[in-house]
Amino acid sequence: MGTADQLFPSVTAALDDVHRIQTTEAQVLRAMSRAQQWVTLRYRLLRRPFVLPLRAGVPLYHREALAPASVSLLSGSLGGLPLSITPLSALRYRDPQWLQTSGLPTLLYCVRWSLWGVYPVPPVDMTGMVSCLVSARTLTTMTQILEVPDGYRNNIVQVTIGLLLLTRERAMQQGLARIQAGLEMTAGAVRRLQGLTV
Amino acid sequence: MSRESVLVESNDYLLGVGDPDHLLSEYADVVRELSLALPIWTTARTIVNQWSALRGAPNGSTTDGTALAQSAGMPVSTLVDGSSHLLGGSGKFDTVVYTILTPHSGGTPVYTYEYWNGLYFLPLVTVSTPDWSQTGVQSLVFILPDDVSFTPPVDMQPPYDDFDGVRFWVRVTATTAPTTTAAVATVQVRQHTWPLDQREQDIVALSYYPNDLTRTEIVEALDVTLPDWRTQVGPPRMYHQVEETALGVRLVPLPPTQGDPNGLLGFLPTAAVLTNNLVLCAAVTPEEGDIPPWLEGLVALRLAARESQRLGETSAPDLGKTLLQLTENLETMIRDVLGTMELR
Repeated sequence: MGTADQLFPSVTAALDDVHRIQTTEAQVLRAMSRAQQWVTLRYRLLRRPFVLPLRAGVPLYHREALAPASVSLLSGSLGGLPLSITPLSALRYRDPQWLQTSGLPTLLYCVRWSLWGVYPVPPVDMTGMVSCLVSARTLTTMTQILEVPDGYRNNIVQVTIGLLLLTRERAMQQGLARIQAGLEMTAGAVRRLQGLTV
Repeated sequence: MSRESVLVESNDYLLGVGDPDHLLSEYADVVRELSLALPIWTTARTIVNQWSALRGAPNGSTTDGTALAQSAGMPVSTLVDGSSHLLGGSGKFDTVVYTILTPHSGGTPVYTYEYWNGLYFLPLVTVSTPDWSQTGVQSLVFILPDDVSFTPPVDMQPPYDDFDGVRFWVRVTATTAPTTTAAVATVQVRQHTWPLDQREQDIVALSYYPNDLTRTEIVEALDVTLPDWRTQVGPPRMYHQVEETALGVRLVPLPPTQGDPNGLLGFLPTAAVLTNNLVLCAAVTPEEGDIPPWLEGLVALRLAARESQRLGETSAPDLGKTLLQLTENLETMIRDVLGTMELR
């Protein structure tokens, strides 16, 4: 994994601004930071474990407090045994007293994004683990190490160039097409991406 | 990251000519818009199912009569003209059922029935009023006003220091008191609808703790399947999301009992006894600190799109359209990443 400034020449060359007259370093860094975040989400590149401290009698937990960088819940375990992830609607159907039923938790659910819950409700304090999809950190310096594997550098470059074309150059359709290609958002985007190299 | 950094990023898209003050003024609205497009933010809280009773003197001083009204029996007024009793519900109600133990007698008593609208006590439009000269069950039934206010009346002296008075208040005043006051054995305040907070947009799940309630969307269907649903009393099985000037939740049937006061502590932080209170999980508009860094880019894009579509120096309709298209693409991508778990 390289640093942000290693991708800088590719970006400024594509914008025909190698001397950085039109585009400042800070602007490129902001665009690249956003590009890296979107690429990590699109390709689900970063996963991280978090401790899940459960408290006796408490079914619901703030995701932000437990796993601040998490985007999406992927799996969970308690005492080495997996917690199955289930939709809240299914749980409500299965047990109308889902907020009260007490026992060793076997299920994990989300109340949309902000809240996680466990079922049954733990009778005593216990500690589990969850694995989550996370987003890349915001880039603040050009020497910061990128968090994505090298194979996705081209995607970051394309999205960064796209954002800058869209805005700095007002080349809107070209900019949008680059972003869509970098994130494989539309049919044919993959082919277009293959034609655009770093 | 912060609101300031979002504004800087937004201004990148606008080539630096966006008016920071205007962008700032649009920020909250854009966040609300995003939360409607991506309804992922939720909150869980207890809605208190309780009512209070106060005994009022003509000078506005009050004493707490809740325990008397709910079990031991309470006089309707004193023998002084202008004395009263007040009933305050955490939810809205339009029916109060009194069981009169001792009827009033003597004099020519006159009673008024009023509600607090946030500024004044105004007369209720009553459907039926209790006959205080009779024993047995007597009801006060009224048309629920549009302008009810869950605030303590300004001229009421609370019975104790930490009395918050956040209730819907109805006042029964003996403007001309009898020579012997009526006394009630019990009072039942038939609460049915509780207001949601301003940030709460939609109900995700609702329990009449500990029982989960089923959402019912169509009132007309209830009229067919359960014709007396507006007055039926019993353990609630369903709820209806009321969408009037403010969102609320109406229980069907009407709960016969109040919630356990120990449930007032809140739901998430501690295990509390919540029985017969409401536990609400609702989709909400996020506060500034609730926007994660990976969603701030969408706020910046939406802000820039909005700014470039308005008339003035930053006007650039084509840019606005393109930014909106990109926003929609990204929102679709995020929905796909989150999947059904975090969106339903």
